[in-house]
Amino acid sequence: MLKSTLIPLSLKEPEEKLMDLAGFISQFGTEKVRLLHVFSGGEDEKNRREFELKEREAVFRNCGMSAETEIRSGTIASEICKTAAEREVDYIAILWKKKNMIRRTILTSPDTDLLRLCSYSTLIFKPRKEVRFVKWEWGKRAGGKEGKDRHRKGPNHTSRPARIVYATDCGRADKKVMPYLKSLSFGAKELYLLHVRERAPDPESDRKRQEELSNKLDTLAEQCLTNYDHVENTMLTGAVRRRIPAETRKRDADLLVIGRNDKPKPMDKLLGSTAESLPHQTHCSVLIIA
Amino acid sequence: MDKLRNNIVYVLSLLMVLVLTVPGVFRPDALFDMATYIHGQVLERFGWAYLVAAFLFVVFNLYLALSKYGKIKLGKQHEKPQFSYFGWFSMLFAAGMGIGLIFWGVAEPMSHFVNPPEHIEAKSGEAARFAMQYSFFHWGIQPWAVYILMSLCIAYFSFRRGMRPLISSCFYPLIGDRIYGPIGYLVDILGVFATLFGIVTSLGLGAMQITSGLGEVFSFHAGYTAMLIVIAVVTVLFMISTVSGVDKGIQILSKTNIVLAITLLAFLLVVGPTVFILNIFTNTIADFTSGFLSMSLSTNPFVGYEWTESWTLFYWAWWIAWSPFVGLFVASISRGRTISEFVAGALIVPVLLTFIWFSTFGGSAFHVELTQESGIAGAIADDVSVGLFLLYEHFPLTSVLSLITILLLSVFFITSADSATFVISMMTSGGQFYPPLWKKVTWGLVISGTAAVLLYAGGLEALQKMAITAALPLTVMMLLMCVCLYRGLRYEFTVEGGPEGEKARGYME
Repeated sequence: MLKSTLIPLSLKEPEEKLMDLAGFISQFGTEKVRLLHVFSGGEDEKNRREFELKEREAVFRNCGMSAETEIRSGTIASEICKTAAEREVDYIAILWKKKNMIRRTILTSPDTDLLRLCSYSTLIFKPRKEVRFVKWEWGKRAGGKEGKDRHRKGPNHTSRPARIVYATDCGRADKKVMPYLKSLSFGAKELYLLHVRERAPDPESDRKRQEELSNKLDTLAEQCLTNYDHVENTMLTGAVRRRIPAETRKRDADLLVIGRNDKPKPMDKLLGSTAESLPHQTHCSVLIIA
Repeated sequence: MDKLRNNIVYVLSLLMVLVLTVPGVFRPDALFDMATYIHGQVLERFGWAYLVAAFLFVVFNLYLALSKYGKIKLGKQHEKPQFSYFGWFSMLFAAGMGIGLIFWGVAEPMSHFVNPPEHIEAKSGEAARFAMQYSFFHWGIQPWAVYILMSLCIAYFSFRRGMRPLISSCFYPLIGDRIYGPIGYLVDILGVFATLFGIVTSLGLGAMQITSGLGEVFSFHAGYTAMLIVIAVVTVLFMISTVSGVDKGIQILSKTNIVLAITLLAFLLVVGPTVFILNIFTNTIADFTSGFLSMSLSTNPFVGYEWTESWTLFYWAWWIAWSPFVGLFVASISRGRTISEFVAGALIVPVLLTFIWFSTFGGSAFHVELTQESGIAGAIADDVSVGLFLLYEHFPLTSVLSLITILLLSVFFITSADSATFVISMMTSGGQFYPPLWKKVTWGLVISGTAAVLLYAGGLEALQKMAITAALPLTVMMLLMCVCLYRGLRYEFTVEGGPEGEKARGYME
């Protein structure tokens, strides 16, 4: 369960962010990391990139994980999916790079494509405090005269998730997600079970539905009590894509956990599924369990 | 809470009548100018939206009828329809457009024939074909789609989901308990506004036309006193009918109407130019079906815009403004029918009857006009209400036909007025299916009194234009109602396991 992961890298990732990611996934009980770089180019370039990729292994080894590297050529999203299938990893971890809507619509984003194509469990990692870099020279730590411009803005970041929000559908997704929440604490102390529901067509059915959902949430909460210090239920009415990000912000969550729906609605095919849209709207990391 | 709600809607609606009637009595010209300006601006700026919305309602209704949602009943799943097919169709027709067909069955095709859009030559073969095609269009699918949508929403949320039969109830999936607050009041008051002023003007103008018809037959002067007597008689009759309730008065009158209407139709079809009428019917069906999409979305911005504005857009606004009344009434008689049955029934039978009516009366008028140069078209250009009576002069039993028509008109009036009184009383009683008697009497007297006063002082048309202006907010409301209805139906399938689901049964018992 989340023991092995595939991490696609563009090799432009700052070391500090990778360290954050390594620290974060180590809380998941991940033991084995496979770093993947997809590129198109000649043999010399491949050797150079292979070397650069090898350099990144150390970051993960320092966190107690074994690391391997792999270079492939082709379309990024497809190659990641293929590799995940071939190597039988438990999940894919992505270091999320935020792109605005116009940019990702026109220029496309490999991360977005991956979410659409891939049916694997996926962690979208977003460091909580943004790190601003003028230029990061890999292997040199921030410090000295040059390093002054490269330090983190804001308080020190901890890669350990303190608060987790699980956005449950009170249905099929629970069967997939609950084993993870019950057996892995992700190092978090607080767990918030969130259900965003559609309003029933009449007040009486709405009341009964609320009671029913409340009972379901209580049952889920009971199952998780042993793993977390604090478990709390929240039920909201409205649009999933709007209410979940708002609630994660309100709770100042470090990780949002959702289940991937196997049966997308017709409109999802047009607009993209909830799992595809949430990473763009949430401030925190998102774990999509497939 | 309910008491407060009932009284707020009731008191505010009465106040609204007072506020708008007073200027109509003392400054009818100023009210007319203002109403004309607002009405013109709304049609000019939002006319296209009426076309698009009405077309969307057609598509949405068909989707519901043909999809899995069609199986859902407007009531509990085991319920049977309260009225027989004949009673249901009769009431559908009487409330929907019966009275309009009497006036426009001859007048509309003749009007388009004489005054078509500028790109068509008046009184030409093309104008005649255009006239029939657009008469079918204006009275065909879209008006019923508008009514069906409103009725479906009200019937679904009240009979199936157990809420009060009010327009505001339909918005529960969208705004939840806020329907019990100011937003809900506003929605219901708008419904009362459109219904009340629609029926007041219809009653006033109708009384005027009945009096003229009687004056023609019995050779007397159709003055204000005669009109007042007509209003008084109609009021007494519709009050008796409305007090006796939907099951008795309204149903009996509607059935009588249909029998009378079919008698007239059959007489003209047999005695009149039968083959010509059947040719017109067949040809116009072809023109209507092949041009349906184009007509549905043609605003004609390059040529013929004014014609579209004064006919098609006016009609669309009228149907939408009239929909709270027809919707609530039709909903109240449609309990126990499935969505598919409701949509198919209300979309096929009344529309087909309308087409036959237009082909028979319009076709006969064309035949008389083209073969005998009767001058009906010219006379209609001056006064649309004389069309049918002029047509009868070319057939045997003219006086009998005229008297039957006046009777039909009167009965249609009574049915419209009593169902409107019933609907307004229901809307101002928090959606009670059996509103208090005193409320029915109050609203009946308010309707007749306002019509009589405005008939004397002028200002009826101004009020009519204001009622039609209500179509704009109603269009927005109806589009939102589509969303609400869809959410409700989808919820039933996704959460409650469909119409036969255990949860659905459990929730709704």
